[in-house]
Amino acid sequence: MTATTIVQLRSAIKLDADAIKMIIKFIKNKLNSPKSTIEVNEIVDPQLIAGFKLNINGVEYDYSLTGSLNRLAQEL
Amino acid sequence: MEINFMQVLFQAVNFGVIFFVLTKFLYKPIQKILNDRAIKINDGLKAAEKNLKAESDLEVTKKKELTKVRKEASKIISDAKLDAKEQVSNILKKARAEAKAEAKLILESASSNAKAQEKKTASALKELTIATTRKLLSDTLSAKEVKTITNNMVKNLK
Repeated sequence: MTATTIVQLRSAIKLDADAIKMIIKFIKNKLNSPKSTIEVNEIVDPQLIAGFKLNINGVEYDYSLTGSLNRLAQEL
Repeated sequence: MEINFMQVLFQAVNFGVIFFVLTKFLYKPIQKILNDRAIKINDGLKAAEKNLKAESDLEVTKKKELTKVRKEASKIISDAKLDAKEQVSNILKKARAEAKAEAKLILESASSNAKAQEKKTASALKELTIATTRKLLSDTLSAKEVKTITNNMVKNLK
């Protein structure tokens, strides 16, 4: 029996199934557990402008335009 | 002319008496008075001479003292001038050092203020730029573009 990992996916628009699959693949790679079960809680957040954010076991992965802008602001 | 010997004798005796009386009671006191007066005059002259000499010595001493005092006064003035010059130099030196330190402080403060202002301006500019960009992107990106960007981000996941 494999443990289920609940992942929060916050995206600017509703993602299609292919995109979700690719994200799940990415998550499995990150967890180094290809056979684990991933449960994705999707939230649409237009504040992100474009892109998405992942929260995997408390660790946040930011691939949004808002995140990119924030990182740019910190680098300036 | 007939010579009366008795009368001659009487006259001689009379003359002798008068001579004796005059010598005894008049000539000697007058002589004494004259001698005393001469002594007095001589003493006076000596005293005057002495006074003159004393006055002359005093004048010499006075000149010497004046010269000495003038030299001392000149030295005091010279020393005072040197002292004043040194004091002025020290005051100027101190004032220059103080002014330099104050200028340095003002410059440092101004530089610090300028840097703080520059930092504040840069921060404000950065925030403004980010906010403007965010607003611009939010307002201008179409749903299709948002989807494309998001999908590209998904494809580029590593």
